[in-house]
Amino acid sequence: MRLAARSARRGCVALLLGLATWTGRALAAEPIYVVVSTRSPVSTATQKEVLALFTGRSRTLAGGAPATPLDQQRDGATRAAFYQALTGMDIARINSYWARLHFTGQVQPPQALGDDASVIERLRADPGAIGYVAKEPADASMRVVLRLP
Amino acid sequence: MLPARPGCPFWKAASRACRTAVLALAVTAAGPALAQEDSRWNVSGYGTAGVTSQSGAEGWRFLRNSAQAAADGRTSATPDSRAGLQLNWSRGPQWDAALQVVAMKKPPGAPLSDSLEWAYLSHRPDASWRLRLGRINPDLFLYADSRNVGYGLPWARPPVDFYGFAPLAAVDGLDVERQWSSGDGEWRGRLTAGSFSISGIDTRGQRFGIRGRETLALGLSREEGGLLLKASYLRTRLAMGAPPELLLLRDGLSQLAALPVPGLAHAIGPLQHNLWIGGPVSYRGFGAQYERGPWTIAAEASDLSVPGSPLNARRGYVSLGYRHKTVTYFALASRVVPRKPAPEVPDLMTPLTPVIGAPAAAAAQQLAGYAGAAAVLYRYDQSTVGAGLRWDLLPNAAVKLQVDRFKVHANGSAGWVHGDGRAARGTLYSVVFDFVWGQ
Repeated sequence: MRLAARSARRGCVALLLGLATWTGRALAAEPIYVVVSTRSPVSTATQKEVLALFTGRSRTLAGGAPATPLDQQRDGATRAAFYQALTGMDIARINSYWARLHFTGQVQPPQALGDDASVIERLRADPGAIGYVAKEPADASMRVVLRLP
Repeated sequence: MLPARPGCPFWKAASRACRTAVLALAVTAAGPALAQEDSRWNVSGYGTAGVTSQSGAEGWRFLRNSAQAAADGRTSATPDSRAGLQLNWSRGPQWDAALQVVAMKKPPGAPLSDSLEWAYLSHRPDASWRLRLGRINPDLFLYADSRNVGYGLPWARPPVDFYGFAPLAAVDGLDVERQWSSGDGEWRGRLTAGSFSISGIDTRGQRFGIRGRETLALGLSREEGGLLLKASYLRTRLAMGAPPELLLLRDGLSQLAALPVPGLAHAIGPLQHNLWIGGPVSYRGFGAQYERGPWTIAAEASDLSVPGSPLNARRGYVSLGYRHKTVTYFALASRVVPRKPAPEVPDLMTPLTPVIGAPAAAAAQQLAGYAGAAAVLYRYDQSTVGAGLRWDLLPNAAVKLQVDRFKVHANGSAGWVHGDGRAARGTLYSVVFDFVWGQ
């Protein structure tokens, strides 16, 4: 009985160590564009500023201009690529980080919109917002303030 | 400086004003706001299904936190399993509200209100300031504010030696928070004031009430790159709901101390202090977390000052994690050290026999013995080393395995239900599944 339990424990450990070598989805290193409306006072942003904004550490950009960050679909590839390029963390770590903040009332995660088009549409309506898109916007009312990576 | 006298008219007036302000603000803000088109509602939740198996420390039951029920057997799902539900509402960048309830096994007889984790209304007059009213969390710890959100933690549970006696997770009152940048660092300071009332569990597994009045907490943190530093301070006036046996012991000792025997009151004094049931308490904490590439290191240290009580203790832990692909491997070590030695039972036979006779002196000696044994049950003195892994099998779910080797020193078993003051060693094996949704 004890032998069986020991074998089961060893099997369990071996399985988990095997899983550890499982490689996560490779994220394409396509560029991500951080954008605002041309009506926004923000003309450029550093990666550090955008990181502080999208991780809830700050609510303003350069010059103290308030900015409302907009996210994309929680389980979408664009969001995963954005946070990987911005923070160097995979999406599970980002979700874990936000879980700590969200469920303790520290900061609410940015509102999640469906896709690039939804982000552009919201930015047109809200000059105080800042979002990211997978394709460089051709729209003249949009301004790219940072390109990642 | 705020008046500190209990029952002081200032605090009563402040409490009344606070309740009135909450109501007024809720009505004036939430009423019209609910009709606004840009109101946003969100329902989200989290949960953990976990099993812990204990070897060693025969007869003792593992207690993850003194505000919940202990393990109901050597293998138990009680310590780690829980589920939380959160409702958020926001209107634009200025107004938001949140309510969170948590289901887990609480101490027997705990009121339903203990399950309400947060419920507050928040206002941001600008991007730097925030004011909250309601049931709110003081910003005291690196992780304990999210102690129930297993998915947000690297380990199966927050280190028990550090967080096991940290029942304070929420205060009914108000807080003011300010965020600002200085150089390359992002700062956050939060001042919280209010009161709290929660349930704790004693070493027999019975519920007792814990009330905190005139609570004032200050948290200050700085983040830069991967480095987070946090310092915190709290002071409150605690009142512990003591079992009748403890009150009888206290009365008995008081009567003994009143006898006109030279030196007797001095000899009994330390024992009386050890049967502590309330008074001023202060907490100082410091935490640091550093993340660089796949490595994460976190450490916290705290000093809980409860004058005269065996609860007086210093706590600390350090944790190291390394992430490879979807798995984080971690190791941690923690320690809680009491600031006072275990109480000594004075010799009462010698001074009392000539005064009250041998039989009565023997009874007094026995009473002192019971008091000493009771005081020991409030004393924490243990250390733990552990290791494990967290596998993020989905973007919102993780499985964790953890093995903890614990060592409880003599007269330091307050962290265990049915702990009897003996020294003990043992091992905890834990498997947990954590998830979040709707976040």
